[in-house]
Amino acid sequence: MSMAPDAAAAKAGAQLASNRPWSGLGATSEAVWGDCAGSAAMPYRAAVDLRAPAFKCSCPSRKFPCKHCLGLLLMFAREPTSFEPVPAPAWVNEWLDTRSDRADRAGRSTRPRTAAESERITLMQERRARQREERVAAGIEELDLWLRDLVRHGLAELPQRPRSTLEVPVQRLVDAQAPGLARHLSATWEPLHASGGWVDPLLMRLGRLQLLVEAYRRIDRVPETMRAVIRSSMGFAEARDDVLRGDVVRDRWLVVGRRFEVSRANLRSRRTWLRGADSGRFALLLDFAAFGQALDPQPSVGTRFEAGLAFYTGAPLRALIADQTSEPESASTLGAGHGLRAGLIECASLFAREPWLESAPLLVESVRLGRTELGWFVVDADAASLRLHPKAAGWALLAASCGEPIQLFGEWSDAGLLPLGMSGPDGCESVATATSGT
Amino acid sequence: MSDWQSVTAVALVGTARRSLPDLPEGLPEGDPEQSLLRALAYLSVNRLVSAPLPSFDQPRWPACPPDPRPLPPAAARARLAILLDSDEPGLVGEWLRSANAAGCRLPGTLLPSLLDRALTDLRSIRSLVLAVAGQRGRWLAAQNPLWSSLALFADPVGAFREGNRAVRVQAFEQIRDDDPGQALGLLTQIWPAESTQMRTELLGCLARGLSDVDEDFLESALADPAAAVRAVAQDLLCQIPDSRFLERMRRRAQNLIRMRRGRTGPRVDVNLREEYPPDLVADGFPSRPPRGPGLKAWLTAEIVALTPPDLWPLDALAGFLESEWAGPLVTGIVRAVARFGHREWAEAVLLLSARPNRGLGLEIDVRALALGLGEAEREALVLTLIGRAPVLATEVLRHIQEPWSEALSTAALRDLRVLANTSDGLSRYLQILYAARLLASPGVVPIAEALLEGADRRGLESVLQRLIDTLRLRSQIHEEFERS
Repeated sequence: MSMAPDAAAAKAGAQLASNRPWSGLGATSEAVWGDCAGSAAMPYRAAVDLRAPAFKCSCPSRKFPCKHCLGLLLMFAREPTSFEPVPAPAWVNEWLDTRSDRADRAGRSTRPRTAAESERITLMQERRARQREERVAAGIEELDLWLRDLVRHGLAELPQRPRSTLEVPVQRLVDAQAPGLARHLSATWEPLHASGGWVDPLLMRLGRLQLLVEAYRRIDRVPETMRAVIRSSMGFAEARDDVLRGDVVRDRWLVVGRRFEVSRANLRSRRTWLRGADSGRFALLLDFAAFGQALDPQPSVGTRFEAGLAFYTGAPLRALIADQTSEPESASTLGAGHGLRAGLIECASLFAREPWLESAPLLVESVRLGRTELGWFVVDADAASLRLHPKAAGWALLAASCGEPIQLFGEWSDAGLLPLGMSGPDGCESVATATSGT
Repeated sequence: MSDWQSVTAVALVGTARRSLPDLPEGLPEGDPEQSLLRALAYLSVNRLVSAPLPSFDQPRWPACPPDPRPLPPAAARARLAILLDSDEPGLVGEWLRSANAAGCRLPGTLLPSLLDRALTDLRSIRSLVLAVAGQRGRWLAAQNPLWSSLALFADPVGAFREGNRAVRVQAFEQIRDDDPGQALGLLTQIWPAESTQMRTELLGCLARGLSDVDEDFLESALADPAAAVRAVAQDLLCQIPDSRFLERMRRRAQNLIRMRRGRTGPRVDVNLREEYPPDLVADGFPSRPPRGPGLKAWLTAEIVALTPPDLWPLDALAGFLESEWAGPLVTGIVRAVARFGHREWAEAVLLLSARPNRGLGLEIDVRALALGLGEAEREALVLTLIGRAPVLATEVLRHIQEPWSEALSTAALRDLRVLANTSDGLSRYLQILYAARLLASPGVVPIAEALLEGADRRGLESVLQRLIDTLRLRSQIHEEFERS
């Protein structure tokens, strides 16, 4: 709304967004468009270029952007599902093309950099990288001292300590530009606020955090691929473009589970798990949006599409869709899964590569839901049982399974299996985290 | 070789106070703190990947009966998930109604949220949830003690025999819904042993699926020692068309009231002796008239109240008003209209209440009158009132809980708009618009938009906007069920 030219336009835009006089709504990654029935005989055609916000509308308003474009954007933010993910119609494409041409011309018109300038820029970049390495190293030393102090005096009194004193070292790691390590440390304290015993889960996490610290100290002595994993876990991010330039894995990818999270900073994230029908490989698509903003529409759980995925070197489960070559079609199951024992062995190999991983994907076959006073669990055909995460939507799973064996996908961690997708008598469904019945 | 327990024990009390156990071989050397952290690192990964998988027989749940109804279309399923998260509970009802009309069942994963809602929400939502949830809903609710109060008893007869008072009543309602005859038989069996309160409540349950099969039992309940039970029996007998009880009441009323044509209209004579007629006792009346009002006044009101109003021509009302017994006659007829639900009489009585000085100081219970009518008749009543007494129309309209017809929606929005010209009327009109969000037919959006164009008052504008938004969303819900 900060784009609105004045309060009146903002209000009118908001009204149009809720008013829905719209038809022919559509969206691509580049633009959104729609026809808005107004006071004229013909509906106004409004479009917004999402690459660099730009607006086009056939209405006579002299305000810019006009209320139709604002309404369109707001609605896209609130209800992206109303927008068909179809190719842009001609009038939108023409407009986008003229805009790209203009942008290109503007780009060319700037004076080319001189050799000296380029060299200076490279030098500055190198210096910044070196500074960051130094800061991270210093941050790790500080954390090491802090942890040693912690175990010297014992952890028994942790639950009584004010939360803020445990947040201090987390913040120090953020300042030291090691956000990945900071996140791991912050996750280490989570069992203190959860119900149930905190000692074992917290120490398990602390141990694996220590492993990451030690690994980073020895980073010069590990193989190249391992190095990338360690750096990525510390928080050295890979650029999206670099990932997309890497090798691409082609497969028929089946959406097996999805989870939404809202962070403390009100950032919404979406974790979508895919599994290759041929490779059996898991892939995690991560998307973020500021609160109130929409995430791009994505195929639903239980659908399959052909695509090439580009995996991150440093986070080998995480991937980007490089190119999608077919429309999603629905599948009858989530693909071939394992019994619990075999599934956990697969998880173990992921933890062997990245022991500090928070959770690992797990797809299991023919499990029945069970429940004791300790909570929900699943039992497979070999009578092996595995407990579900406290946030698992046990009742929803039981209702969807009718008490029969189902196929279950979820994230497995020391806290249990958190189901995110299932396939049962009604076909494939996504599973939300629990809100009900317990 | 040390194990997890001994290492974590040291971690809890601190290396300053306890020395380390033997650590796993091959870990790098270091001070005690470092060694402890490394031991934790080593053991935690071990522990994680060797998590035990306790052996357990596959749990067996009672078999869930199959539900042949189809699942709602994908868009409708996605919509329900959004509605359950939103703060407009009425729209969940709209979704459920659409699902019910389309003959769809609920997606299993959303059943728990809906059962939770059925626990806390209004009864209207509850019965809708139970209808759409169907067999699977009953099956699921039986597995969770939290949901058992949804009156979803796998064994209602058992629950009826053993439960506490509330459970028994709910179980009895369920038995009555499943098989009215079985419920009547069960009630006859246990009847003598029950307390007055229980008898009253259980007898009231017979209102569900009431038919002339129940008449004999209700006749016998007219002799019950408790006045509350007798009143319920009278009430139910009034709802069985042409019951013997009604026949007796009609005869009494005809003897009581003699109509004749006067010069200016009908005249009414009340024909009662000064003694209490003994045959009334057998029909559930008290053995002695209550103290307070005079015998004649009391009896007149009671007899008229228990007689179908269609016994009298509509213009008898004028005669009632002219009569020496106007007070009791009007009191009786108002109660009778509410009890028997007669549209024309309801209209006449309501219009009477709107006439200054002619209501005889009577408070007319609009709610009872409105609820006494059938759905279609209630609508017809509002439609006639809208033109003649708009304020009164809003009073009745407030008590309509079912979706409005297209005609009613149009009239309510457009013809009641005149009310908005006064400040008292405006707040009435706004209440109607607010109720229209969930009840009016979505087809009236163009009318609402035209009203919005001409809206000159702030409050009106925002309420109309909200009305339009909600109506649009509701028609979207309907469309999502049609697209499959």
